[in-house]
Amino acid sequence: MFSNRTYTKQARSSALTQRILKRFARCPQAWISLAVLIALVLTAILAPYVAPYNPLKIVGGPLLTPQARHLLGTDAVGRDLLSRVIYGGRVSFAVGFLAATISMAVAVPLALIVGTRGGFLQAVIMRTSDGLLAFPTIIIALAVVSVVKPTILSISGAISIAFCPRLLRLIRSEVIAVAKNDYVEAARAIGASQKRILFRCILPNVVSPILVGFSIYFATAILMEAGLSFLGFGVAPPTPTWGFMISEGLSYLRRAPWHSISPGFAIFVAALALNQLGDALRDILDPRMRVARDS
Amino acid sequence: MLGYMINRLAQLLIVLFVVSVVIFTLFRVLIPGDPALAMLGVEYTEESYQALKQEMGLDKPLVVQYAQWISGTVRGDLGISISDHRPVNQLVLKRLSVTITLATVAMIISSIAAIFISMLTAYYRNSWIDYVGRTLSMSGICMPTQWLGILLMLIVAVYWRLLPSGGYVPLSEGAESIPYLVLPVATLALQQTAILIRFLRSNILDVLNEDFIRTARSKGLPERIVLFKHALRNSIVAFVTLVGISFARMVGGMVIVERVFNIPGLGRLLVRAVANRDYPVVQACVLVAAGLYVVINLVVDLSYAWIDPRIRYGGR
Repeated sequence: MFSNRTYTKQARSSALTQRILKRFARCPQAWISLAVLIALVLTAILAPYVAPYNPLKIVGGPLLTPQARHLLGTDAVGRDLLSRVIYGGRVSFAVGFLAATISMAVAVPLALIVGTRGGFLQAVIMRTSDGLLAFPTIIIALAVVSVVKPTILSISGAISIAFCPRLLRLIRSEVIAVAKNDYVEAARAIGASQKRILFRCILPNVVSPILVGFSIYFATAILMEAGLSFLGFGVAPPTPTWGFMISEGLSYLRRAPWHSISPGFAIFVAALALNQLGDALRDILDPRMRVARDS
Repeated sequence: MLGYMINRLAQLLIVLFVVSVVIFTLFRVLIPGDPALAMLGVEYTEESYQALKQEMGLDKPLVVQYAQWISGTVRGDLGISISDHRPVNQLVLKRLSVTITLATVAMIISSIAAIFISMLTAYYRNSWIDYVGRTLSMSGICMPTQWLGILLMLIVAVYWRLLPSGGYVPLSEGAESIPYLVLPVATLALQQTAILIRFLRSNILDVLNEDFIRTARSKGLPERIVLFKHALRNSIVAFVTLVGISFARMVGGMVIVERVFNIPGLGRLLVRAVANRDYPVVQACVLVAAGLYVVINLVVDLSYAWIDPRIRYGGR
């Protein structure tokens, strides 16, 4: 039988979910960007079924202009550019998702510790994080890939080293703000354990900055991966990546400008969808922010 | 004021320490093989390896190695480049001036542009001006730097033939250097402006909601003075902080812009060194980039005292 307690809890959480879904439906920015994102990710995942050609095979003359058979033209050796753009999304989304996930997995627990406890440990974590902030993201990522072999996992790891201190600051300030609330004090007064306070009082209230941060850093990681592979330190060729395609096209800018433009546009759309989704989530999940921002 | 400065300097030293430990760990501990092996290349004898190892002090404990490395670094000895056998500090210094010139010009232009545009968008919030400004800012943030650079190059240099599509002439050559500077600086500055607007706009909006703005308006001050004296002065501290922090991002952007426009700066040196596994050079470039960030942020911290009298008189 349901105990009374679980019943009310379920009812409350479903009411909240409904309210959020309703706000989501009323915000075109949110569902348009989510739809674009899902379309891009599905295209990347289903690449073998969607792409007209094998991205690694020579299927036409070199540097063909966009035409019915090759909608985005071909590259310098005659590979179909549309197929390569479609496959290129796989690396970008994999790195973006992994980098955002890894850095969240490190930054959130650290932020919970640092935000609720002072002392020596807190000082060590924050000063280390300040030190890491001094490295420009792409430069620390370059330094890491000079030492380890670039794979999807190592590139994501390199990017998350740069993201962690930034995310830590962001979430820590939210944790500190939430921990000041009376209900946290009340929970402590009735003798709730530290674990309960962290996971039941504080964590649920920082979910929205975590989600917003996740989608914005997902976008930043995609841009970062594009930068790294543009410089030639992405996942090794012949695997197509958006960043490296831009750099391949750079040599044929006069003859075949579409070679660089189309993968760049794909990166732009992906980053835009994620950033817009992040902004929309901020408005949907936290109505107070909307008042503060736009009034 | 003195206490504030001592506090800042202490924090700076801690940050520098963390930076040096990170770099040391990355290039001494995580490197496959060891630096002596990397320096010798493929062909070497066991004796020459041992001799070099001893010469570089690699047979000593890590703490001693760290102490030796850091004292060398402080004296400006960054080692010898593996690929062209010249002292690393010479290589770096030559390239650094190019990168700093571009970054500084771009930073000044984007700061001025960002202040004006975000004042406009904040003042006319939710009008078409605001809408256009926010859309442009969002687009700038989401564009890959290399793509923005290539689009500019394609339109201005390839189709209109107004400017050279790449290369670099040192500033010392005078007016001849300017055409080469325009496109790379524009790429950097456009992106930087987009980022600055996003933060500055919401900051100015917050300030415009404050009571003292209502007071200033109700006592009949002209809107120009309310905006530029009351609102701007109160968001300038946040703005200066942001400029300091985003400088790191811009140095990162430089690496890409230098590749797009074929500019012989620090970024190109770094990229080539990473490709050649030239660890002393990679290490030096990373160190210089981090050092720049630290110095800029120290300047920012000290400028607070100049901008905000509350800090000057020890209020915070």
